[in-house]
Amino acid sequence: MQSAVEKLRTYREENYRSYDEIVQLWTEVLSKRNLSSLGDEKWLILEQVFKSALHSSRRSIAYECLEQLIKQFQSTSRRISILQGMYYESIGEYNKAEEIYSTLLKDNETDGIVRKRQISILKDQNKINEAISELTSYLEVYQADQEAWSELCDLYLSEHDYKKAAFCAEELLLINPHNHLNHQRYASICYSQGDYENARTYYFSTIKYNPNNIRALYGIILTSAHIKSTTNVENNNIIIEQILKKYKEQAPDLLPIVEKTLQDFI
Amino acid sequence: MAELLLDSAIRFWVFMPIVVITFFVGMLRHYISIITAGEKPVDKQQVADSQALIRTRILRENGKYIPKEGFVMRKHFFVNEENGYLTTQQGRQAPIRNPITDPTMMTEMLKNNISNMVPMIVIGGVINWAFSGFLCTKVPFPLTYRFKPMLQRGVELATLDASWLSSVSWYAINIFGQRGINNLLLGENNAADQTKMMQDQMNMAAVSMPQDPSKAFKAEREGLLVVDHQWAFKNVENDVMSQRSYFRSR
Repeated sequence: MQSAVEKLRTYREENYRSYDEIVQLWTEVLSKRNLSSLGDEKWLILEQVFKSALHSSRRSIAYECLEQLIKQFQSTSRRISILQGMYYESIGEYNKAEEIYSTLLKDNETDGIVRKRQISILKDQNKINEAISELTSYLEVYQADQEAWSELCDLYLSEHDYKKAAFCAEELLLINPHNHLNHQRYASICYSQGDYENARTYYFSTIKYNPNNIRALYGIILTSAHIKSTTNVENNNIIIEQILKKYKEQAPDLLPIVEKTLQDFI
Repeated sequence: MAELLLDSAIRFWVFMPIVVITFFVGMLRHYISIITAGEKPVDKQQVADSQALIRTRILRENGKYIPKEGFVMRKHFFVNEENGYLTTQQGRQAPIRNPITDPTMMTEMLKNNISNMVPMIVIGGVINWAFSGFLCTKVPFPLTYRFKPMLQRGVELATLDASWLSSVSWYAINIFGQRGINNLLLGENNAADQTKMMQDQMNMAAVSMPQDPSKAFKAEREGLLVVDHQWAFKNVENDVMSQRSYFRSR
């Protein structure tokens, strides 16, 4: 049991996303033992398992953990109320969850977590436009919240509003300029808008930060198909070689298919 | 100077107890402050201000990674003459938090003072009363004559070497010295650490943001006005193709 507890602790501290494994550890090892020997860590573990169970849609397990937490802390605790709200969201009782969140907000107007959960309720119910407007008003206050910008970018992309999604992607680039995924995202959005020059530039900057990014390599080939210019041709050939090399190293079964497709671009 | 020999009883009954007392009182103060610390209600406006400042800062620093239109758009949003975010907010007069008239700040200051100063004074007095009239310890380095009245309360001997300390001065040394141990055991920012509080009182700097948003905004606005957009990716294609060693044709 100790090793399970330690594993969970590492997952908590380093923000791992292995939800299934956490739930598995719980069902096999921890739920059968009496956890009071762990003291305060017991509650942290319960919360962690609760959230992982919600992610893996194991509602009964989530409910067990939630019950134990409520028994200990009563529903007056803010943190517990938020967890309760999350549970109601997962079973579809959006009204009850909304009640909980609005009461929490009345106590403390500046609570970012509760506002984000309200927005996720709207998203669950497919009310994308309202979710977008709530999120924009949230961002008017919390201008530097990376998570929120990322979410807003996704929402705009689902509405195919590329111009605004590009704005959000630029914000993310400002916050984290050296993350190659941000560059790739922005390049893809530019490509969808038809801005091939910009897209090509940002695919190159993606490679600058991470030479192993295959999507960026493909992106360069595709954009050059739209921009007919002489300098691109030699570069393209080198890039194609690069792609083939990577496939050879990592996914050799796909190599023939890739080769055939890339023939059109040489 | 004559070699003085102190009774070994002093070592057990004065020297170490003072260390122990200082340490435990510090711990006690730390935990009491945790228990009694009320949840500070965060002002929405303050949050908005600090986030806006963060955003202008990253725009200034990382603006060269986004295309020119994006940068110019955001710069315009912030510094525009008529309706830029920074220009309008700059004119807003933040409510001046005068410590004396504002009740909430007053109680907080009072609580801080009481919880920090009073135990120190009380215990200092107790030690002075209980352990006075004899020398407690000696500092290993020679001190000048000037230190004598400070370090040797209660022991008025004109010819005594200034290195010898009375119990009260030993207590004072402990308070400042145990900051290191407290940091190790209780983590940074612990309430048992008094030196930071004393420094604050000496500086009398204004509380973090309240009076400052207009000044901070003004500074940020001027900073943004100066910044020019140098797109970092003007020649990125050539850069990448020439630099990556495995891109060179094999």
